[in-house]
Amino acid sequence: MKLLYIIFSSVIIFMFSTVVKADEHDFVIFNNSGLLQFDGGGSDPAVLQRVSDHVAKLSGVRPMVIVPSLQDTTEQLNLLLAGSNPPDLFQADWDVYKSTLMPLNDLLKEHGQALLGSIPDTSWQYMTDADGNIMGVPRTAATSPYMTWVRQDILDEAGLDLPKTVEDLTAYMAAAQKINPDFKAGTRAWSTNKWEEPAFGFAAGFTGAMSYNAAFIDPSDGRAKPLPLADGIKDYLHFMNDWHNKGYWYPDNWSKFDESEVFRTCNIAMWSGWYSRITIIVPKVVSACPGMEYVRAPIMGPKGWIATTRPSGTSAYVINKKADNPEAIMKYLNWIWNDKSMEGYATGVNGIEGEHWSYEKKGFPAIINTKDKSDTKYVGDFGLPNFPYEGNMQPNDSLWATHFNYLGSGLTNLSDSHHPIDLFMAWDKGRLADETPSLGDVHRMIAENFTAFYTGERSIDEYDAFLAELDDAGMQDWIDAMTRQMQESWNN
Amino acid sequence: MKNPYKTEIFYNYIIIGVLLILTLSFLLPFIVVLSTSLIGEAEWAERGGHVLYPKKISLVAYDILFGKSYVLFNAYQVTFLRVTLGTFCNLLFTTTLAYALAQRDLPGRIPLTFFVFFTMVFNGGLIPQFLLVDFLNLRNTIFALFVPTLVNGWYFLIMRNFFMNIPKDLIDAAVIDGASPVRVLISVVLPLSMPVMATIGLFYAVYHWNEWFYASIYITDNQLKPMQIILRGLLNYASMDGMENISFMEQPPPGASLRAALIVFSTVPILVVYPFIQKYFVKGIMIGGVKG
Amino acid sequence: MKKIWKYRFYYYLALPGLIYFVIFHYVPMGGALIAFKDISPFDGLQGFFDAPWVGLKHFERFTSSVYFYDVIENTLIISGLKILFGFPAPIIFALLLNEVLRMNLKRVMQTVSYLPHFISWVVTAGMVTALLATSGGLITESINDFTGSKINFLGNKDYFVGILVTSHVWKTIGWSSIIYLAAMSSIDPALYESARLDGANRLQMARHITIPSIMFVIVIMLLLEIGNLLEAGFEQVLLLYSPSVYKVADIIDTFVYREGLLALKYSFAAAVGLFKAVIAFFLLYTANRLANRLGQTGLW
Repeated sequence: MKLLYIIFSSVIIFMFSTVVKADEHDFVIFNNSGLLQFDGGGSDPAVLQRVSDHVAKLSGVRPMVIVPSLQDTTEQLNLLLAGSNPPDLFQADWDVYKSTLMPLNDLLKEHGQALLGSIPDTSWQYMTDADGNIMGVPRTAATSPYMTWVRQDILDEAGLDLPKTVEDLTAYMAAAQKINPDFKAGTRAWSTNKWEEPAFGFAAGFTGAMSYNAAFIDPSDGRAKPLPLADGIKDYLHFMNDWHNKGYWYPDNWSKFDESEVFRTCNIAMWSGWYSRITIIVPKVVSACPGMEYVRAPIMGPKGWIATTRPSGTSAYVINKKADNPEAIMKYLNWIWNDKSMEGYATGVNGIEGEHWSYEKKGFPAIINTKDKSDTKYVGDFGLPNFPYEGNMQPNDSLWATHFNYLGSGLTNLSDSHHPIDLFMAWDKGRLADETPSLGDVHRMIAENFTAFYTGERSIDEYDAFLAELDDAGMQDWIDAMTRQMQESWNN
Repeated sequence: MKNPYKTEIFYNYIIIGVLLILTLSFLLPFIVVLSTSLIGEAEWAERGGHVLYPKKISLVAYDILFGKSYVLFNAYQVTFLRVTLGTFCNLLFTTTLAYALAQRDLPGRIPLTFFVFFTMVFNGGLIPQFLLVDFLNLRNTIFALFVPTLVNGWYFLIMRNFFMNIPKDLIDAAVIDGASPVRVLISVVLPLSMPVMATIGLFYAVYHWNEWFYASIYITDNQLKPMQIILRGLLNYASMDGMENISFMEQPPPGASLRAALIVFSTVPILVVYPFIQKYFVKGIMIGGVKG
Repeated sequence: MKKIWKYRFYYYLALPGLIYFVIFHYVPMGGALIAFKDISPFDGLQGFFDAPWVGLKHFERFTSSVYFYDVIENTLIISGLKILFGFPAPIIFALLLNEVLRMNLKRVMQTVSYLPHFISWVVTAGMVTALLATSGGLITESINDFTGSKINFLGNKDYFVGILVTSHVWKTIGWSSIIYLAAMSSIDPALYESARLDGANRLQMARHITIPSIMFVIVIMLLLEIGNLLEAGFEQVLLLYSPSVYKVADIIDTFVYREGLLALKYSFAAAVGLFKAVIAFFLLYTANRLANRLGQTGLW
């Protein structure tokens, strides 16, 4: 018995006697930028120390980086923020984390001139709250990631030109199926548990309006209303349903499918969905489908472009209001995103110049030669990707060429997609959710019913009944909340 | 009248038949996983992520797994320590509590058991637990990995019920001989309870081996991250359920073969260790002898 | 009082475990109160005290949702079916395995049976998706060869729950049978000997010897399942469901999860968690009374 207690006590004493020592550093970065996606273990400690010294020499500050665990990064971040040593710099939607953040206006003026120069003015609009505080450094920009893609090889075989209108597209699918009845059109209705994907791809062509939130202002009462109430929405639904009846859609669009497997079947004649399926997945499987080649096809519907530009949103690099040394943080950001030089960015992401990477061609964009991470043993702990820079630093590597070329030309080409009315607005999502307690129900109802309308499970004749159900679920509260926010953002 | 011997054999075949079909259904997917882990990029592009056998064996996935040897070795040590120290402490605290509360005449037994049971249904949630661990300065220590989950309420109950099921006369015999409760526990009860100790020990050990969530929130120091975190850090599960990472530096998914290799890697040690534990389960039947 | 002194050694034995529960379970239990507040998680302990008290607001949000009954119904149905099929399966499996005489075969089959437990749901869901893909899926194509129709399984409300239950049983049968096999190994072989001499056949021996001997394990495991009635398998459902099947597949946890995607909703999640816990508590209490009445040791 006594022995048992001796064991217990020694375990407990042992437990409390371990001391945690921290390396000397100026601030802590929680690097959930996505750069370390596949490197949860971090870099080799010895190499990391050298890169850290190098960074300190070049930038004048020494950050310490926490490599997040990939599967529950948000959970991890939230807990760290609640704990006793919260990170100072991290990526987040600033509107959701607002209560923990520090406004950056003064910091930017004093220490961030190069940074200001490197980011277009329009991007800052997404970062500014109702009182004029800039709450973060923008992470992304407005893009057009939901374009329509058709197959060049099928066009050639059928003797068709690139489709330009919805009718052309329908004719294209008919011709494709004549060649091979298994050719289908793919899109995703299950991604991110939202209903936006096919809608972002097609709806605006029929309604002239599209957004995950307020799609248009109703001239009769001045309120900001969502897509289901837009004029022409039934035409959009009829179009989707028509294609379903003709058998053009890939049957699993509305449930789950593995994209790599599906592209590998070589039967996707048309894709309207997240662009990276084409720029990243297709090159990987193209060896299984000789001749398969996708081209971007901007399509015009009765009321305009069918694809809608995706607003940049509120994703940003933000600084914790409890940070001890915000000037050091801003100095670091200023060095990384310097409008005169790629050096900071490239060093953070790749390591020591000369040893881990070198310039092939300087300038904007710059082409650099990189080594494989398993050779350098540095995974990019100090790197902070940011939209202008991601496209500007091109690896000298053919496999990535497609993707980077697209980043530069296709993704940011906003000329052939519909611009939503909230394109330059930053929605305060937390506030929307607060003022519309049943917002989750409304979104589920739209997702569920749109899918039912596409597949014919529910007749489009019942559309008005659907709108009544949406009202019961709280749509009017949502409209009021959105109207309020839009008006406030215009008053600024 | 039917020959009972023949009936016996007929049922034997049926039972074996059913079991074989089931076994095949368990084995096949695992073989698919194993094969998938052994194919290369080119073969994946051609044949897809679920293959029954590799056309050409490629160890590229395992290369990537072990290629991170500079961090992996450390991670192994951490996991090994966690599994051994953790399981030992788990068993120690669970067994003592279970044995004590298995005494039917113990005053206050029911309220005490209820006291434990209540925690199985109601808890404060993740944030309070995190704040507590933070407050106790256990973050970034090995103890954070097993102390917060020292006793699992259900395992405690299972063990307690097993103890309660031990024939009373065996225990009485020892008590009459003047043995103290601890002596009885160690020399009489534990040897008789090998099956349940082995089972619960296995459950705790496998838990420690596979667990990554608590490790990820309590450990931020790279040197102290257990193996599962490092390995899972190589995969991006987000690409499975369609959640888009806004980063435009979207990297290609690391491939079905890497994910498969991770599973094989996590499972093989259990497969190796399990036969040693199995003998504790089979003992009784073996002694039972041949039927028929 | 004298009794307490007599049993003092047992209290000493129990003390470390009890202290653990006090520190790591009862101390943080106050955190459940965030269900009654509007909490912002990052403000830490101080924020917890400063946060405004909102009473039943979050509970009302949950119960007033147009999908409240749907979600509860789905959870109960999915969970109920999983228990109905998934609870007896490991027991029957253990009984069957028990009958196998060749030690090596038995060992191999048992080891193989728990392999599915180690294949994570992500991979299992991936396999299920691949098998049931409308064009090219192994199962779908085989059925197409027989019946000539291509069924979209994962998008079909009639089949979806069946898929959930089947894949769940497949994944858990082996691992769950371990505890029953462990219990069976403690049965005195002499009992089987004498039963055989009395002319009992396999089925009778199982009914009258094996099952009663492991009943104390069966009871506790059944109570565990009942306690988890409101957990219908979040990870599995999240990986396999889609708007096409929300109507039958949306469970409490996926509902809360989607709420969390809109904005951080810790208080809401805590409220739903508390709601589930209260119900689980009553279920367990009732089930335990029933078990006691039937002469079995349950939870206490």
